[in-house]
Amino acid sequence: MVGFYGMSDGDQFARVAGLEELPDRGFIQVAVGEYSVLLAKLDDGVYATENQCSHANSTLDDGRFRLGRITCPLHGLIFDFRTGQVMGGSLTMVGLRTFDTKVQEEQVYVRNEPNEPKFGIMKR
Amino acid sequence: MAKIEAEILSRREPSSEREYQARPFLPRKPIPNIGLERIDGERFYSEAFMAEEWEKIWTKTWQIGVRESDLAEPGAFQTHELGKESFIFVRGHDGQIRGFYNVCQHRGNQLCTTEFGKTRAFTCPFHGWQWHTDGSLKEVADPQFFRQFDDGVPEDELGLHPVRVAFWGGWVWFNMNPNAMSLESYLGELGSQLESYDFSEYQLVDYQTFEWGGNWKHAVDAFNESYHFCALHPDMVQFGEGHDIPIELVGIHSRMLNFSGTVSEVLDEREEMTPLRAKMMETRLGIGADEYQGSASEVHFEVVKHKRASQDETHHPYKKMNDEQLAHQYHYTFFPSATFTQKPEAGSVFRYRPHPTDPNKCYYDFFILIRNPPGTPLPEYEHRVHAHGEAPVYAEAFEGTFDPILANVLQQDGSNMETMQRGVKSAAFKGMILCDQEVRLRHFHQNIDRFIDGTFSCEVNAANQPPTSGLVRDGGLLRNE
Repeated sequence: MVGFYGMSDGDQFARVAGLEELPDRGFIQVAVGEYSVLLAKLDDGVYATENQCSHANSTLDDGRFRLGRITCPLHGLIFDFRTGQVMGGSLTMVGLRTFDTKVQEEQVYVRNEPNEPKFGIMKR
Repeated sequence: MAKIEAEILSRREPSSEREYQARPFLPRKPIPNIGLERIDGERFYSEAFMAEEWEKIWTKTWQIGVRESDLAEPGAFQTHELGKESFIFVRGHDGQIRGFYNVCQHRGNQLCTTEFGKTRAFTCPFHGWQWHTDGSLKEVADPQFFRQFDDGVPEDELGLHPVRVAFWGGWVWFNMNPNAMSLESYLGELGSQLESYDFSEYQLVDYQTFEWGGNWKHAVDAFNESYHFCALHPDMVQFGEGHDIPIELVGIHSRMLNFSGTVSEVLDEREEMTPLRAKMMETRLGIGADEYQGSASEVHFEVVKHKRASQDETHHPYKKMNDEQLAHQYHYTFFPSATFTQKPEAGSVFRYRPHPTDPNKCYYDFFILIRNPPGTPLPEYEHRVHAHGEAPVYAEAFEGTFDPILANVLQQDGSNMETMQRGVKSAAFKGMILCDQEVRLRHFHQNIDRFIDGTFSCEVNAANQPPTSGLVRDGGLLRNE
């Protein structure tokens, strides 16, 4: 696939943005293959989650981003952006799918396949 | 009169006596005589009394809800709990902030289960009914299942139930009584005085809730007098004066002046700059020990001098403030549940909330607000809730946002909640005996009684509206002159 470079089979990363494109607070939406992905720069790195709530599949890109968390605009569930884990609301125990990221030479790369979602409520 | 008052008045320059929005306390007005009767203990634990308070006070008076700045974007919402009710405050996609009861109009489920978020439309997780952010009905899921709707869904009847909102000091206030007097009228003269601080310019940096094992009125009472400083907070008298301070009852609200940058007259050595006094001078008042070598009891004069010298350059509203405001803590309580403790640069807001069902518990909300330079990005505070029985070390809970010595003072205040709650239930307790320095408590409990017995009503145009200014009304009991 154009834009990916392979480290090994199943471990491919695509360049999705320049680091300077990421806002200090908030996220951008990018495409990674067939996935819509949200990308945010937090104080300890760049993180990526799938743009789809694990409860009722709503998109998340018009949710609220605060304290390193993303809220679902449909039912208000709150997810930790780093791990994808549920932090607020009791409608699901299943977290968001996250993607590994890499930053090289001011460019942001996202792995082409998501990680399995984490299960359970994350405490603050 | 405290010694410091005479010291201030003897050095007050005539030029500093121009009229300010916040009227100075000094020279102090006599503390009004509003009676000597004991205050009963039953009001603190009676479920019947709690029910009366809900019916006659909580659902009829103005309360602080959320910060306006937390509703910056269209669709942004915050939820807030008061007693048995939950509310949603939301900025609609038309830009207007509104308040609603957090209740689905279908089966009564709570609509929003999280404290903050942003939505396109509120969607009940149970059956999927939806409402626009202006509260109007968007969609009933499968309306064909409802024979009641054979002739069409009655959208006018099915909107979210609104709660009245108004805005003051950067806060969204709310009132469950749609016929209540305006917030501006309610806050009255004291509200007008506090506008000199420009609260809407303050940024919320910390918000913590403590579930305390005492009735909410114990929490109000704990902070509305400084008579307890010497016994409960021995540190506080080292760098402030809370002994015999000016107090004013203004309508149903009240204020007092806690002196800062001084040493209490209850101590013998007021002049010496001890390490504690020097530390508090630096952290609370911003004056380093190398800048000031004078008496520890007169630091406040230096504070006024410093702030006046910088008033043309600073973003702080020193120019609008009288000298007392520059150096000392203005402490205002709006009936029944909001306290503002203020310095020009920062302040704390206390909000007292009843437990939904148990008169033996309450919620004490502590907000720290700072007036940062214009353009400072909004701090992202985390609202932390400390459940009863899981009390933190307060100095650790407030690390980075509140001086540890003052956080410990707050812990000392909290430590009384459970012991007060137990004590007032004792057969040996014959009612509270309150001194003049505790007159705000007497005033507060008298106001509670007046709301409950119907003497006061906050309905607009009601003949028995409570006074909200210092002006004496016909039959008013509130005199400061």
